[in-house]
Amino acid sequence: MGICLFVSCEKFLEEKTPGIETTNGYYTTVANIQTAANACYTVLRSGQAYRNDLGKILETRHNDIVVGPNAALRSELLTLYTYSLSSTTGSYEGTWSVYYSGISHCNAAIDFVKNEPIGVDKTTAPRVIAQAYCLRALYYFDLVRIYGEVPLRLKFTSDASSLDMPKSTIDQIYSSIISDLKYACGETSENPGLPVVYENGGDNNGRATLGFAQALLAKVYLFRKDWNNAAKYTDMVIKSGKYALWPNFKDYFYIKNKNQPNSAPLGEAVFEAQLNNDLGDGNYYTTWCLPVRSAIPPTSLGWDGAWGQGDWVAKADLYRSYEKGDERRMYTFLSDTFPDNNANGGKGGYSKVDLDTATYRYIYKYRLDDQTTPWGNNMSNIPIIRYSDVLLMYAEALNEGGTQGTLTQYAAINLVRSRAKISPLIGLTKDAFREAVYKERRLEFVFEFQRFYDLQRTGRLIAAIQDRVPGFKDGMEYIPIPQSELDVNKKMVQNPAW
Amino acid sequence: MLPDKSDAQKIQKTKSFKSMKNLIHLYRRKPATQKILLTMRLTLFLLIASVFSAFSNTYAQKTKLDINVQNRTVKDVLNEIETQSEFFFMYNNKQVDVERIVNLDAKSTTVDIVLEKLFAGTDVNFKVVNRQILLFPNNLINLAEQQGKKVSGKVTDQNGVAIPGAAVVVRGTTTGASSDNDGSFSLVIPTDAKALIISFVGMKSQEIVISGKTIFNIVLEEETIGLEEVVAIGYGTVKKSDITGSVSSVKANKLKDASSNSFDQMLQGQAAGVVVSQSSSAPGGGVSVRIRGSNSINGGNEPLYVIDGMPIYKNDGDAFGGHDYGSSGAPNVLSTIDPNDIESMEILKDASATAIYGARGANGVVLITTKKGQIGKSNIIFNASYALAEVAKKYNMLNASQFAQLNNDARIAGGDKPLYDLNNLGNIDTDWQNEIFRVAPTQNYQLQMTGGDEKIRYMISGGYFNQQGIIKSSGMDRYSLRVNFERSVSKRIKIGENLTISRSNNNDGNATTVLYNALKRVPTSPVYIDGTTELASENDNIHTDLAGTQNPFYKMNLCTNAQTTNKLLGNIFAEITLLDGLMFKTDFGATIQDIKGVYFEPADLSARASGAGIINNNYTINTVIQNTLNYNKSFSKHNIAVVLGQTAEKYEYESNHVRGEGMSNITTVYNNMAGNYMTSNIIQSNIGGFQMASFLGRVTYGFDSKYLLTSSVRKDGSSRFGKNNKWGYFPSAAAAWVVSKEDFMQNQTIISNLKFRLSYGATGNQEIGNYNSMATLGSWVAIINNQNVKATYPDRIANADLKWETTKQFNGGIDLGIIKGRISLIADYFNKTTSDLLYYKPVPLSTGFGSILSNIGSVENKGFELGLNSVNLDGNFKWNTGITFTLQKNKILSLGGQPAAKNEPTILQEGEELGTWYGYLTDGVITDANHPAQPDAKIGDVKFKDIAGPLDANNKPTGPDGKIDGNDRTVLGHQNPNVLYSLTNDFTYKGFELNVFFNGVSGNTIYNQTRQSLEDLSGKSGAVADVLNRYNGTNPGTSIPRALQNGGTNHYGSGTNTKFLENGSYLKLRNLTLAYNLPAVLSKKIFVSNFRVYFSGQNLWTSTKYSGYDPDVSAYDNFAYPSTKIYTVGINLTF
Repeated sequence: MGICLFVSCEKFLEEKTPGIETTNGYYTTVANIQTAANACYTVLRSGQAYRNDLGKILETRHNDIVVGPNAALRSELLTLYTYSLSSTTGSYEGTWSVYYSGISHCNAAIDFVKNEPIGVDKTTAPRVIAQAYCLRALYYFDLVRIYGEVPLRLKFTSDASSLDMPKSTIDQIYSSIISDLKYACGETSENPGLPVVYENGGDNNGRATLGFAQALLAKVYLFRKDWNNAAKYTDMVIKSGKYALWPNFKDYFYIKNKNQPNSAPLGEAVFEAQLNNDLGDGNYYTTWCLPVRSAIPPTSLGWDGAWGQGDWVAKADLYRSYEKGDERRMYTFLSDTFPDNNANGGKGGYSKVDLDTATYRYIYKYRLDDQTTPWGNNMSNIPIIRYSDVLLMYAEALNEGGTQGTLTQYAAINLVRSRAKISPLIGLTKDAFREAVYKERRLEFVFEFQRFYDLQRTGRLIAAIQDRVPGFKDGMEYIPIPQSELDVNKKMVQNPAW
Repeated sequence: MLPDKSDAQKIQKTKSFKSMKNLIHLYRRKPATQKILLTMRLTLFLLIASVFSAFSNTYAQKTKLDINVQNRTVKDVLNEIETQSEFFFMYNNKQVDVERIVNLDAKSTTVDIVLEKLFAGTDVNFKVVNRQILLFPNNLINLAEQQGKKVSGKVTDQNGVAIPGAAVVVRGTTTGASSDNDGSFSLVIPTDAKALIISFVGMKSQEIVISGKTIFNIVLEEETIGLEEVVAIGYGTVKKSDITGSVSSVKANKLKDASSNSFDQMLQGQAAGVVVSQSSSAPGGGVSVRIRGSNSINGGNEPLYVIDGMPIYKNDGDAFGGHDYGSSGAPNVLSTIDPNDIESMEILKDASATAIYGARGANGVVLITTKKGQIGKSNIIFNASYALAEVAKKYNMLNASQFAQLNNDARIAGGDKPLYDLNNLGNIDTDWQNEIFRVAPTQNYQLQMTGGDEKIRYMISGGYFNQQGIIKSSGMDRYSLRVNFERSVSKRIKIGENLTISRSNNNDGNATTVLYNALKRVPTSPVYIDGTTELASENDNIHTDLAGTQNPFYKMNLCTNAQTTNKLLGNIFAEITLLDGLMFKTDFGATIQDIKGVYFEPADLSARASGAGIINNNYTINTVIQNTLNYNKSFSKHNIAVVLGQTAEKYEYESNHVRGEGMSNITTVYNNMAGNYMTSNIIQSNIGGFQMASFLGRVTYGFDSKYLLTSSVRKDGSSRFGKNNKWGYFPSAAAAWVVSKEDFMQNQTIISNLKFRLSYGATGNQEIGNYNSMATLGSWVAIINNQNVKATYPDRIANADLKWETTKQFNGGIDLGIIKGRISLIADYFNKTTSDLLYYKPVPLSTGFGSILSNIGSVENKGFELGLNSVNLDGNFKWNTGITFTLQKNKILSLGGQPAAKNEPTILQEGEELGTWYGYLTDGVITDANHPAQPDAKIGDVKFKDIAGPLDANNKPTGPDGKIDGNDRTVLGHQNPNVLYSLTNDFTYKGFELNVFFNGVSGNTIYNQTRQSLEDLSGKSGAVADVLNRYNGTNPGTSIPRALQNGGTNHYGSGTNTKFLENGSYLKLRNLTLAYNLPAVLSKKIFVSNFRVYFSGQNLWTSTKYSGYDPDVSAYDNFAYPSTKIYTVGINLTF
């Protein structure tokens, strides 16, 4: 106090922060840096990303799904459906913001943990950094596919000196993603990379693993049409032996199977957006996709009369594309599997309908069959890469000219087909095989945010939607940059199509 | 051996006495010292004697004398004592017979015993002071009487209270006396004496012409006005005549009689340029004070309060954590101080006055000085008052049958069947306002003891204040104790302390929720089911479709929402006079406050099925140390005063919040949280604070009291500032020219005072919040393996440049006094520019952040202030008038390149004021079936004005586009008044006093959200009677839309619109007091020296167009606690 006269005033004027944390000194303990790693995952549970808005952006703009008749979000979805977007409508400022805050969390983990010497622990710090690299790659991969060219921020914004930043080219962004993923795969001398399996098992279920980094890298290469690398990294995942398909398609979506091993120690989920029901904001898609005013099981929980929204329904063409006996159809759409529907002749206003001729086909992929809490909080995770995706990517890469590894391309695709209880493929031409893989992906990953990307990367998007969007032009597959970013970031320009 | 005495005798003879008849001659004789004759007035001597008596007796007690004389004169004995010791005697040989022959035998005896023996049986008295011994006759006056003319009289104050210890001196001499305990005095004056001068500390001196009179009754006036008055400025005081800046001073006697609980309320209308508005009229409710306008968007606009030199950090936000149930305004921290303890308040307005407070001076400074004891005046004062408050105005609401009609109309319009059978309504017609309001008493008691002598001054006061709210559940009480004490330890050292301890219990009583529910509750709903004690809910068969209101008696009778505040405010100080004119002062102070807030609501189906309880604990401690050096020196015509100082301050807060839901037990409520099972709970804690270190200096220089210069600088460091801007400098300079002191002004008698003042300087606002410059971490949860795990990440971009907001202010003023100060006028023009405004500047979202707290933009406040005081009549009937008048204008000069921030109901836009309303313009109701701009609306719905379309390709505004949407929003009006005025008239006649105080504001608008909510045409909730004039097809001129219950779209503008923006101008009879002072002759009989009774009325009359409860309310009136009329009777007794 009064001593300020005699000792250092500067010391007296230091801001003391007993009640709050600052970046200064935080990243020095194992427990603290673990929380920094956790922060890299927050995007995955955000309503503006995987849990809600990503579904809007990615499932409304392709040709298998249409906006439902009673959609609560009808006008919002229609702007996406018709590609009538602008920098203030349909630019998904919240999504942009959440992805970049996730990137900021990753950058902070990388910059601060790299800079803090942690003597006691040789494992955690590199692993925190590797997770941050891996997730940063995932987020940029989503951004570059949704918005196209975006600013590539690879340093934490620690002061006001570098707030404005121009877009990087798509090539630059991909090369950064590839470099980040190679880092996460342990291909640098600096960092051993992500573990195949975390030592303390279950507690870390849901964290990025080596298998995920490899599968994601493979997918990036697939998007870059680098078939050899796509084949190489999918094969690494296959060869690891840590993953296997569940025997039945529906098993994957049982909540009891979430994060569980099957015949392989890591099960089928290579990486998922982890959700739970603690915060009352689980997987939204159940609600969004089910019909309006539907009473959904399990009614025994006293949750009778909860409301669906009917935001999206599937087109007949999608429904009719399944081969006879394909179990996936039954577990993708509502009518076939809705238990009360059969027993009671319809509860909550449904009657058993023939979806083939029905007006609307409601999607019921994120299932509630074994959920024990009210369905408003669906506990299902949202898959980002499943093992069937790895197999199909591998098959596609081989067909396009990639070098074969553990399996043949037929073996890979037929693993997926046989799990769906349909007959194996043999002896197709290269083109026919390509079409077969595309079709398999379309049917396997309904409402798993894959369809739009698949059309986009294979150049089939324009053909798929040109009837619906006659004014569609090149570049429209990228949604507009939000106006607020354009207003504030003086180095930013709008995407050319808008 | 006896010394030779001739020299001394010679001196005595040479000095003969004419006008010094009642003075004693001081005769001193010591070997090797010059013989001196001193003259000294007896009273003065005795005064000094008493001052030093604490030190004087050691020598006298230690020194032992051996005296053995036979048949010697007294004078010989005195000489013998002087020889044996260092004592020397002072006496007048005309009064003390020193030639008397005595015998005396005393061995090893102290001097007082020797003297007692020596003068035994005579009328000679003695007093030993240090080494001096004074001899004087007991009947000094009688003796003096024979030598001049005797005059006598009595000194009283304006209220007839005797003033003991007043000095009565013959002009041009040192002859005088002091008044005794009854205020009476008598003295013998020389026959040629012309006039008496009567003076007393704190009172204006008076000169009375003698002209043959012998009896004088002198009434001294308190030195409240006048240029010799001393006013507090930061870190010192200054004579009012020497002020160079703009300072308004409000003395205690201007503040008495108001039954306000808080002194900031009392500033209302007292000083030009100060806007006081009542953010809540609830007991203990908050007050907002703005000095010369608002400077800041995000940094706060409250002035700095300094109590007895100690800055008080008033941040209700930190001090009170708040909770999200019910209403609970933070209690006004300043209401914990008893206003009766305040002696004066000084409001520092311009930069010259405030820059000494540096980074906290930008919003102005209010200096509060509490009462101190006075020398020679011991008083016991008892004040008591009892007041009754009633709601000043009520909303005129629909009665039961009117409401039933509305409900039916609204249902029919929505395609439903009517609910009410209008011919068979039953007898329930609840006037909910009557149910919740009451006539509420306020009691206020205070006992104050003050007194002092040359060494010790004290003021001890204890008070109890109890105010019940007009909403039945609300109220507050306060116990307070203040002890102010000063002691002169030695000639050079004074120590002292000021201390207040108070405890306030503030019962919010959920008043705002109660009020909301009462006004929104339908009149057809009863309070109790079948008149029993069971509260009626709305879930009966008639009221099922109503908007969700709660029976207000649920919150009022069954729920708790209260706070207890313990506050300690105090400082201790020492003043050391190092050299003549150079004083060092060290001052250590602390404000310690703890607030406990509790909330409880029992399980209730219509509210919270499971019950809930909250405990909030907030502790704050603010410690300050200040060291200052003051140097004052006058040489010939030069006057110089220098202050140098260093201060350091630390503010810490801590809060804990515990909240549980699902409480089943209504007996232990929140007192046993753990034992009262909860379905969910929230536990929070927080801690933080800031530090400041400062250096300050001020030089004032005056030449001949004509030319005055002041310059000050403060260097402030705050922990809140960013690393690159840890220290700010705040300089100021001012000059004044006292024209009336110039020679050329001396030949006229009209202008008694004329002074021009100019000042310029910079001040700061450090309310940028704690930790805002740092890269703080936030946390959320991520989900791993179905579990929530803590995710921590930086949530703010560090801004090492973050700093205070800077206000630069120019002030020019004139002080004018006419006819010996009968009329005095102070006028000021000011122009302030605040730059580096604290602003959340948006950053690209791609950084991962939304904004960075930056210093950008600027705001201007300029204005004109006038204060006028006039003594209209002076004599038996006195009439004084005081006027204040303020013109002010606020403007946002720049937002630093940021776009206008449209946050309905307000907008921040360059060129507009801070506090500008933004929304839609309304234009009556739609009467034409063709109204394409509002396609979903129907006839009878509110019509909005189409004024603009979207910006064109060049970002230029466009005209009407045939569509009502966000583009049609515009600036609607301003929150802050631009004209403020007040008028005070004081009349006194004999013992009667009458004070009439008006104040007014104009140019402001209030958004009446309350009325917007009550002009409800759905028929689902209580509505104001205005809706009787709703559109019904036959009244196209009405502004009230049609009744409609369900199914309407665009039916009613819920957004901000002009319909509910109202003129907030008012003129109020703020206070009227009639008092009577019992004549002293009568009051004496009951042993009271002053007996005063008064009646006062507050807020008796208001002229306004505002339709809400009261225009003296926050600009956004959202069910604000209604204002009251208060009638007070009180007594002031001085013993």
